[in-house]
Amino acid sequence: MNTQNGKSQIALEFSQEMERINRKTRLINTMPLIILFVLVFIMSVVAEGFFSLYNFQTILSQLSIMLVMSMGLTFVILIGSIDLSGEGLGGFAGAVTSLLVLNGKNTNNFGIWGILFVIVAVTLIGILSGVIHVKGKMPSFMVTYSISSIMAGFAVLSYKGQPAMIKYPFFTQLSQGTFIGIPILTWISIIVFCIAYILQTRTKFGTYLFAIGDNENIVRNTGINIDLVKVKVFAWSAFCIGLAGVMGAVRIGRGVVDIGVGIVFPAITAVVVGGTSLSGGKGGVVNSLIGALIVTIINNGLILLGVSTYIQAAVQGIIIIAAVALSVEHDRKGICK
Amino acid sequence: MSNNKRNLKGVKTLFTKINKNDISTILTVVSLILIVIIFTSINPRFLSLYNIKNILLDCAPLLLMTIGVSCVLFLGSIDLSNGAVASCSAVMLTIMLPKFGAVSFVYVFFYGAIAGLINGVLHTKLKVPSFIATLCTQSIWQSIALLIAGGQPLSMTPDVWPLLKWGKFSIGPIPFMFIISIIFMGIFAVIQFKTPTGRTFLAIGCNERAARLIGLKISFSKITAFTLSGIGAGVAGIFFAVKLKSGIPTVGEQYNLMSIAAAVLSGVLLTGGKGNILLTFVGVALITAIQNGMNVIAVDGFWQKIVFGLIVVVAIYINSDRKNFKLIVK
Repeated sequence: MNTQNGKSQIALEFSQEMERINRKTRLINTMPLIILFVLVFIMSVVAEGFFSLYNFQTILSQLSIMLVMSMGLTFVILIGSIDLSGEGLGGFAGAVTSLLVLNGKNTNNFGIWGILFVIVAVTLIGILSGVIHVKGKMPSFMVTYSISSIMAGFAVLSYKGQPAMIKYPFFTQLSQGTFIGIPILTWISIIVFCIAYILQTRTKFGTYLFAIGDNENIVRNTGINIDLVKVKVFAWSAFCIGLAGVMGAVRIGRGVVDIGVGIVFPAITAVVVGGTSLSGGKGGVVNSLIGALIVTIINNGLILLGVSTYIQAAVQGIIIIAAVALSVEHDRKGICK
Repeated sequence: MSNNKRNLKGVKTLFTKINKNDISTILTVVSLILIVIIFTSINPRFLSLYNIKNILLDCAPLLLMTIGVSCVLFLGSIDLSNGAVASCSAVMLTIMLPKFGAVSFVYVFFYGAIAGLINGVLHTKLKVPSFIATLCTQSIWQSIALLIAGGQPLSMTPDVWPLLKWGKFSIGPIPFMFIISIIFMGIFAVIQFKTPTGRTFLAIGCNERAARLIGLKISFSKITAFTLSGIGAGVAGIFFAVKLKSGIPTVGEQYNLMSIAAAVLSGVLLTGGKGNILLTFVGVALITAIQNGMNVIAVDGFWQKIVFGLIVVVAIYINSDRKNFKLIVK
C-alpha cells in the first residue's frame, strides 16, 4: 500500500515537472510574438508618426530585402551552419545586374534574362561553397566568409570603380510600384516566404533540415544523403542572396558593391530573434518572419526617433547576443566553441 | 635486405608524420621563397633595402593581430572582431592624443584589453558561440568607431606629431614598430609555452571535456585568450594611427580576414589544438609579401581581396581533416 502511494507520488511529480517544462517551451515559443506586440505598442506611444498608413508602407518596404535574406539564412541556421557570404555575394549580384540590364555604362540590354543569369550564377556559387564546406570538411562560416571577400573583390572589379546607373524602365516600375497598397518588392519577398514555408512544411527536404540540425549522426545512419541536403541548403541561401542583391539594385538604382554591406547582419538578427536556435533543429521560417518584423520595427522606430544610423548596427549586435544568450542557457554542460 | 626495408619504412613514416603535422607550415615557407623569387624577377626593387623596410613596417600591425587571433584559434574558437577593435582604437588614439598626451597610448592599450575581455566573458559566461559573439561585437565597435569619428577619417593636428616620432625610428632596415611587435610576439610565446594558462589553450582545443576533467581552468584560459587577441588588435590600431597620422574608422576592416589567413597558413588548425605563436610569423611574412609584391608590380587593389579570400580557402582545405568520416563540421 505504502509503495503504491510512493509510486503515484513519483508519477504525480513527474507529470508536474513535464507540465512545467512544456509551459516553459510554450512561453519561449510565443515570446517573439509577445515582443513584437509590445514593440508595436511602445513605438506607437513613443515615436511620433509610427502608427500611420504611410509609415506602415515604409515598414513593409524596409522589410522586403531583410525577409528574403532571412528566408535563405533560416534553412542554413536550421541545419546548424551559417552563411556569411551575403555581403560579398549580394553586392556581386547587384553590381553585375546593373551591368547586364539597360544602363549608362555599357551597351548591354539583356533585360529580364540578365536578372535570371545573375541569380543562376549566384546560386551556382552557393552550390560551390556548399560543396567546399561538405567535401572539404571546412567550417561553413569560414568558407562563406572567404567567399564573401572574394565575390566583393569581383564585384568591384566588374565595374572597375565606376558604378553603372540603371536605366531599365522595368526597375523603376518595380521600385515605385505598389499592388493593393503594398510595394511590389514586398510582394516578391512574400512569395519567397511562401515558397520557403512550403519547402519547410510540405517536403522531405524540410523534414531533413530539422533532423540534421537536431542530430546529424542519427540522420546519417538512416542512410539519408546529408551532403546533398546541405549543398541544397547553401544553394537556396545563395538564391535568396542573389534575389536580395537584385532587389537592392532595384531600390538604389546603381550597381555598387555597397548593396551587400549590412544585409547579412540584420538577417541573422531576424532569424535569431525569431527563435531559431543557432545550434540548429529548432525554429522555422514563420519565426523568421516575426523576427524580421521585430528588427524592421526597431530600425524604423530608431529612425523616427532620430537616432544615428551607425547606432542601429550596434543595437542589432546587442539584440543578437541577448537573444542567443537567452536561448542557449538551458544546456549548460554543452561545449560551445 | 629486411633491414633496408625497415629503413625505408622508417623514412616513409617520417614523411607521413611531416605530411600530417607540418604540411601547411612547409608549404608556406616554400611559397614564401617562390613568391619572393617571382616578385623579384618581375621587379628587382622588391628586394631593395627600402622595400624590405616597407615590408617589415607593414608586417608589424598584422603580426600583432595574428598572434592575438592565434591564441583564440588554439581554443577552436574564433575572433571576428579584431579588425573593428583595431579601427576603433586608431580613432580613439587620434581623439585622445591632443587631450591626454602620451598617456593615451596606455588608455588605448587598455581599451583593446577590455574589448577582448568583453568577447571572452560573452563567450564563456553567456555561452554564446564565439563567432556570433565576436560578429556582434565587431558590429558594435565598428559602429562606435564610425560614431566617434563622425563617419570620416580624422587627421592628427601637427602639435601632437612629436608624440608620433617613434613610428619613424629604425635600426638599419628594421623599423622600431617591427621590433615592438616582435617583443609582443615573444611575450605571447612565453605565455603560450611557459604559463599554465597558456598551455591550457591547446589543451582546450584538443579536447575540452578532458581538459575540464583534469581540472584546468577553462573559463579563465578562454577569457585570457580573448583578452590577448584584444590587446593585439588594440596595439595594431595604435600602429595604424601612428603610421598614417590619422584615425580612419574602417582601417582594420580587411585585416580581420588577413590575420586569420596568416594564422592558418602558419599551421594553426581552425578546429583548435594545434599551432605555434612563433611560427605565425611565417604566415604574416607570406601575406605581407604578397600584398606588398602586388603593389610593387602594380596589381589592381580589388584583386587583393580576391587573392586573400582564395588563400584562406586553400589554406584551410590543406589543413582540414577530411579522412575522419565521423567528424561533424557545422
